[in-house]
Amino acid sequence: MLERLAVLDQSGAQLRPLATITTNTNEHLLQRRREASAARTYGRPDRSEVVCSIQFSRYRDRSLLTPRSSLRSALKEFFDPLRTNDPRTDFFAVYRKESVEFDRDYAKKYDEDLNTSLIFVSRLISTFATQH
Amino acid sequence: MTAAYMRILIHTMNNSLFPDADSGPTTWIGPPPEIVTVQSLLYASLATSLLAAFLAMLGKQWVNRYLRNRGGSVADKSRDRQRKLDGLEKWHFHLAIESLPAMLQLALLLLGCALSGYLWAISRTVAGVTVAVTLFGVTSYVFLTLAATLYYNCPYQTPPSILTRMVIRYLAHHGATLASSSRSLIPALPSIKTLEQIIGCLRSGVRSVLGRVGCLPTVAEEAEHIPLVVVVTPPTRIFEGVPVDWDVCEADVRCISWVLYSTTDTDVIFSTVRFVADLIWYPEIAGALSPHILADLFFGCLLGERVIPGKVEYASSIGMALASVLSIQLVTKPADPVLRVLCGRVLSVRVFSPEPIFTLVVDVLRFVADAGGRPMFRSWELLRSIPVHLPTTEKLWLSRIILQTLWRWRRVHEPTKVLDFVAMGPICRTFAQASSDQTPSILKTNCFLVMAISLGVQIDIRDLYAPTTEYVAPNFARGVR
Repeated sequence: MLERLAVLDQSGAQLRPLATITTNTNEHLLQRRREASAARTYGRPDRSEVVCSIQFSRYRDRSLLTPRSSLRSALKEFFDPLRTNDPRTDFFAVYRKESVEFDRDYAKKYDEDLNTSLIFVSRLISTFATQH
Repeated sequence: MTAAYMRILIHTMNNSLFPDADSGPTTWIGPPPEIVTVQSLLYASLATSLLAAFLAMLGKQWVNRYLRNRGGSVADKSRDRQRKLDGLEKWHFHLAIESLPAMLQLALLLLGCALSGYLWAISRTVAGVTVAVTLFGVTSYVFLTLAATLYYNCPYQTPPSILTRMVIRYLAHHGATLASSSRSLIPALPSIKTLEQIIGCLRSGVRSVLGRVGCLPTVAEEAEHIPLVVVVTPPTRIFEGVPVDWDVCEADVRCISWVLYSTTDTDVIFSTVRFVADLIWYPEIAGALSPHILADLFFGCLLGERVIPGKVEYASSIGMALASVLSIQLVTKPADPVLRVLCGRVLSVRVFSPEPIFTLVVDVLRFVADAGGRPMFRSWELLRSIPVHLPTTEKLWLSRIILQTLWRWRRVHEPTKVLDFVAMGPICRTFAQASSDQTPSILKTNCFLVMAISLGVQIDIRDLYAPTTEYVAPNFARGVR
């Protein structure tokens, strides 16, 4: 039985398939994983987004409904780090993934701090404007 | 002033009203001092807040620059990112951003003072309200800062309290007196009892700062001049002038260290430790990664005398990484007491596993950690656990470890004995079984060096790390000769 799982991009109003994973044969899956690892280098949706997309897509398209276990295994296959013979390549792939997540939070935190300061300054300066 | 001018005007229009117009002074001597003070405070407040806004904008640019990637491969991007992250920590970016709220608070205080002074001249009652509110604000702020400085878990942290804690922790770290200050300063405060201790802390802090700007040699610089091991006879160099890109090596180790400290994801750790075991650990970069974090991960996989089910492969990889790092750190710092404690911990491990690789890893760890009591015994023990068909990557790793450990034993513990390492012969033979054309030349070179050390040849430490893929082939013949 061929099971298909569409990983959808939810950024726009229109749903657009980013990748399709088939859990039919090992050979097919390996080919998909190879493609996925190439796509991974250039950024991919993180786990939560994809899971949300899948849940969202269930309401849109009943044909995407698959047993939970196969969904889980397909996701695991898709998101597990692809091991190669070169530990250096493996390491930098996971480093990139970890650092992108870390930096996003890091930048968000500082951006919020700086925005707070700027809002405060604008209020303070408007007080001066009313004084003079 | 204005009244004097009015008087002159009225006198000009109708001089019968009063006899003399020039009764008061007509020269303007500037605004009264109260107004000057108030205006100065107001403008100081304005300037401070504008400066804070300027820094906030710059800060946004800095953050964006940090996020921006340069071109190149994933590894290049990662190294670049790690360098930038290290730079942020080294240059206390966090402190710079934290100082912005402090500047704004100062601007607010100045505004409060100016407003109070301005209103004091107009109405004492209105000024009283402003003064009361300002005083209440200042008192609360001081109280909160004090509380936040003394208690780490106090939620009311303010910029001055964070700064004070940082300064105290810095001094404590350098004076090694306030070891527990990271949690709460209260229990640690009595540990600075005497004035001499405080002066000692300050002196070491100043010394370190001066050393950093180049006035005094720091402890680390001084330590570089102390010979690590006693050399009996000057060893001959076999390989010379191996080109190593130190920037890349150092960035790789920093990347590894960052990942190990910032994640708990087993997949990520697995990939990282595989890379650690594969990396050539030059003595120059060895100190950048603590073996303790690897040791904690390794011991975390053990449950009594067994490995946690399903974690054998994971534990083996961590053990390989730990052996690599521990081995090279023992080469550079053979007498380090912290490493000795770790070695004792490793030697106390009793684990039984049916997995041959895991058994090998445990034996290699014991081989590395045993400081030289029974090298012969350890060697035989190790030989017994080497599987017949060991993959080449593991063989390379094992040959590096044996080479480093043997070099350390020879150099530190038994510099004069010759042919004591008979057991090394079979190990080399095990490797040599694979010395067909497919065997990497690094492995062959390592075997050769192991045999040379066993025979009592003095080898320079730099030669242990010289064999790299690009370098070995043209120099191997010379090395053999």
